[in-house]
Amino acid sequence: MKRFLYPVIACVLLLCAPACEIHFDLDKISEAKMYVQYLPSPESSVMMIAYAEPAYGKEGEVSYDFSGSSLSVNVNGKAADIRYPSSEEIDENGWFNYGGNCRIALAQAPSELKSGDVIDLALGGKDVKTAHARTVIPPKPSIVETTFERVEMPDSSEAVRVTVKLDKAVDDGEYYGLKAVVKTTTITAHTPYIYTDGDNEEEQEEGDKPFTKAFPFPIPDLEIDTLVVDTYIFPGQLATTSDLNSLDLDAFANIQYTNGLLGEISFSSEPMVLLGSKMFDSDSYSFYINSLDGSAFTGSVGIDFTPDDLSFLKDWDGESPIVLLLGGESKLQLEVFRLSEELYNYCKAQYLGNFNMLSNLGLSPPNFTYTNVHDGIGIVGGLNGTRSEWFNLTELLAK
Amino acid sequence: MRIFRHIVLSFAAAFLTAASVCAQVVERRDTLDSARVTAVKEKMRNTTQTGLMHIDGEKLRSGIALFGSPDIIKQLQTLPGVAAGNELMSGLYVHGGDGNDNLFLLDGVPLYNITHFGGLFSSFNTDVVDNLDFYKSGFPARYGGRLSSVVDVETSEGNMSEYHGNFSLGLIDGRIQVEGPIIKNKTSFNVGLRRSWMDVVTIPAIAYANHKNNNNPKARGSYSMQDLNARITHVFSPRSKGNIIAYWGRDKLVAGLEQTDAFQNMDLDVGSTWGTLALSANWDYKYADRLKGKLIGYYSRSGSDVGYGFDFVNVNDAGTVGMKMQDDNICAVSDAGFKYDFDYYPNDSHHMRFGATAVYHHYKTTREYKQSQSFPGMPAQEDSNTVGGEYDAFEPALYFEDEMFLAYNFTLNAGVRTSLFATGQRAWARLEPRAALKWLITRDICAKLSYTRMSQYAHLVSAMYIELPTNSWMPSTTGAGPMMSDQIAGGLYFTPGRFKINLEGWYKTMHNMLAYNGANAFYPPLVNWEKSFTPGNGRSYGLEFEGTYAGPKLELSAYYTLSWTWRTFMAYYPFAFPDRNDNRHKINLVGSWKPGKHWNLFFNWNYHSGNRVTFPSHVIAYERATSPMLFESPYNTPLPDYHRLDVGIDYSTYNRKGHRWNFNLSIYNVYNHLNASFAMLDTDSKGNYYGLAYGLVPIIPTLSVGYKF
Repeated sequence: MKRFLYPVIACVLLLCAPACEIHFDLDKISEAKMYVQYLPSPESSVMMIAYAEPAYGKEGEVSYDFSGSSLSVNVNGKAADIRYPSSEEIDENGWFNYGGNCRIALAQAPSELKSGDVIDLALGGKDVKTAHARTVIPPKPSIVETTFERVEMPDSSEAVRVTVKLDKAVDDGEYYGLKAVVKTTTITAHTPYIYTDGDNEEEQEEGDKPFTKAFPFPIPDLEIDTLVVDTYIFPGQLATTSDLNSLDLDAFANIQYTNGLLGEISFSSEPMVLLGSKMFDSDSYSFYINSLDGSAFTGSVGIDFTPDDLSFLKDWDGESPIVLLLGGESKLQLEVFRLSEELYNYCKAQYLGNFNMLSNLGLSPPNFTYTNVHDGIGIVGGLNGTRSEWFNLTELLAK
Repeated sequence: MRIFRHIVLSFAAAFLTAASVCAQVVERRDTLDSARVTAVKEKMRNTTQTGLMHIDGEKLRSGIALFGSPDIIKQLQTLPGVAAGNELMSGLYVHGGDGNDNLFLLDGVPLYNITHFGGLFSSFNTDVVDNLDFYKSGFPARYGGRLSSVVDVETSEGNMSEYHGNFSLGLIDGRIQVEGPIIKNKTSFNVGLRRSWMDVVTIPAIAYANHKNNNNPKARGSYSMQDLNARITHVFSPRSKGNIIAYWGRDKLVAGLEQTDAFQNMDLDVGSTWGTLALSANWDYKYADRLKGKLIGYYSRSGSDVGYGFDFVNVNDAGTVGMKMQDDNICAVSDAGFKYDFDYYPNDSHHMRFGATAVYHHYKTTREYKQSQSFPGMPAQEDSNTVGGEYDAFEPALYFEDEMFLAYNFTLNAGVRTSLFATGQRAWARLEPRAALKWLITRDICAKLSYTRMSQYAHLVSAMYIELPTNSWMPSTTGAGPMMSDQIAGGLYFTPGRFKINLEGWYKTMHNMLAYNGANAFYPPLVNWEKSFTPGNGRSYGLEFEGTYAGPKLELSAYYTLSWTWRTFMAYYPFAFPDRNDNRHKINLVGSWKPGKHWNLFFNWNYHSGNRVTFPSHVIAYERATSPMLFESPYNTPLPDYHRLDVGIDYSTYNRKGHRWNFNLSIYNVYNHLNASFAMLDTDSKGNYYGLAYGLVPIIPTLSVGYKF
């Protein structure tokens, strides 16, 4: 029996193995289209337009000449003034400027955009169909109250819980984004920097003077640094480790929105870590969004600027480098955005794109595509935002 | 990495083949003839309905069988207008439907879950099936509750005078069916039992492997499926007859691993059971020569229990570290209802059907998660989370239809169905007009036209395209309203001599369909599940051709479908995009030849345009770099075309008692063309992208035997 069986199995293996992989061409799945990323708001008129070529075939050629393209933006039927800013203006405003088949444009509306304005965009190009898209500026959210509460985080660190209350309850079909800007000022004292060369030998910087052993204070040559860091935090409602599906993005959309454009890397590249730790980690700060309760966003900012206890300096050997935290403060500003449905859908698709393993295997619906640009690609999605004042968290914690 | 994938997939494919070749299993000849489905000619000519296939039980039991077990769903998949979805699975995507919109009736009782083994087999045991009606369009008013098709399966009454039965053994399962009189010419029974026998092999094999490993690690694993059909028929009088019918099906999957050493113990358990119970009693009564009624009362329950447990203990110098996790998911839908259907012939020109139905639905889902940890010197930490909910709904419906024989050989079946679906939150009422018109042009040529509106109040909550026990059914809610479809179908039907030629077209729109729009996950959401789904619309249209020759020894059929299926889900893409199963062309060539008394040969060739997947489509060339790949629209890429040939040979012989032995050799995918199951992007050595699909299902031969007495 074995004499018969083994050759059969071997033949079957040989027959099957080379046929498991099937290669097929992708050349015909797309044609060149115009791309646009335009998030009009009362504060922004900037957009990125580009020539998007088929991903397969002659990829990556910087060949498009925008001289044959046409761009028009109408606000409530009235044409906006289109202009292409200079490189200096682009750099000055911090807009993304990738160059190549990509340009920055500005659409100056006849008057400042406001809630309910209907924006129609048409972008034509040489040898491509004219792309069309429409969006509506959503209502401006209004923050009526911001409250802070000292809390202890799961890791036992101290934090302040921030609650932002809007002027109205959030209804189904309303989409919000939330951004927190944390401005941290840290004051440190340290002995002159030393660095190591390739042989790990410690060397003192040129001009540094050796420390004296004068005790206890002051320590000669101690340098004081004031470091100001702006941290942008883009919280969203996150899933628990046990249930991926508690990911409820109907409450929030995550957007990295800077100067009118979505960031190049809009979303966390480590979604599983994100889900596991249930936090966005940025430097020493963590921002939790726990719930959307009626009209309030609730989150927590961890913060600790307790000055170092200097008593250990009594035992200082006079040679080891010292870095001391002398103090600091943290300020927080919250920006609440109201998103148009198309922008929310786009953000959600981008975010869920981080979880597309099963979709890629054809086992699950694709949830990483979205564009509202007809005969084109990209996103034209209105938004409207409001900012809170700057809150000094350090002072609030001290109270 | 590619080599690794290649090896794994090759072995997976080879395993299936090797398993089939090695199997010394047998089964009777009752196997699938995947496309050799021919409508009963007279029935076709006489009915007004478009899109109807009537298949008798003998047809269902003959032909080619995958794994040696006849399968109704796989037979329906070969029909024109039906897409099969993933290979080997029991998908039924009818006229652009989404696969969750088919009404399966077993003796009039709606079933929710109709598959075993993740969709590999259907739950219908062909040994006890008498016939089925399959509607793709032109639905009569007596059917309702699903959008796209009706599969009305009738089981056989037991023989009233003699005992008969059969045994059969296939590659995966064994079956036994027995029927006969309880009280001669008064009461009969018909019982069919089917059970997989893989665990008979795997449990001892694993036990032996554990023994060789001194039970460390100790593995556990088994899978079994079983179903039971039972029917008792009692004739009260020539006017009155009653049936008690039961169906019970269950799948059970168990896997585990236990490992122990001097310092630690680890125990992992994964288990799942799922299945369906349906109990019904019906009573046929002939009130008068022109009026008869059928009363059905039923209870059904479909559900699953899926969970895992993990227990870990580590003892070291500092103390004991312990960790426990347990996750349990239960979902079930229960129906209790009755139907009263009447057939009334007021005169020779009218055939009226009317009736009422009322169903109480109970949906229950629970997901329970527990976790505990303990570390030396620290208090134990426990965490638990229970989510889920229960929903009740009441669904009464009334229907009326009249088949009117009009002048000039016209026949009109006009009807209406009205239904109400009430939950604790709100109620919906729907009026569904149905009409089908037939014009008998000559004795052998007729034309038909139909319009139907259908509503569906139940939604399958699933995050995956494959049948998983974690999927659950939910009622319409304020966040996810009922689905609705409108369909127009029409065609020409020729029946000259031994030939049957049908040409039929349809146009169908579907509204308020739901598509999953949450994170990729095996477990579908339970709390606020509606928020993970997005509503949208569908549209499907196409043409079907069916040509059949039915001779005394030779039968040949050719089916062709030309179709388009579109979806519009605003949250995916605000414009119409093709459906995943948008197979532009579908061809099935089917034949059987009986060269002699003992032999019967079958073939079945399947071809369809490839299913669709989503690939990124665009890129922007920046000055110094290239943008990430951009996605434009869903399902923008067709997979390579699908084709496959199945063949089968039957050999039957009778013993002196007149009992029949039947031997069947079926070969699935005889020329071993591995069709694309899924695909991804890959690059060649120059960095150029191409599509890379994987084929998983190789040639699968099956030898089987059956004995009928």
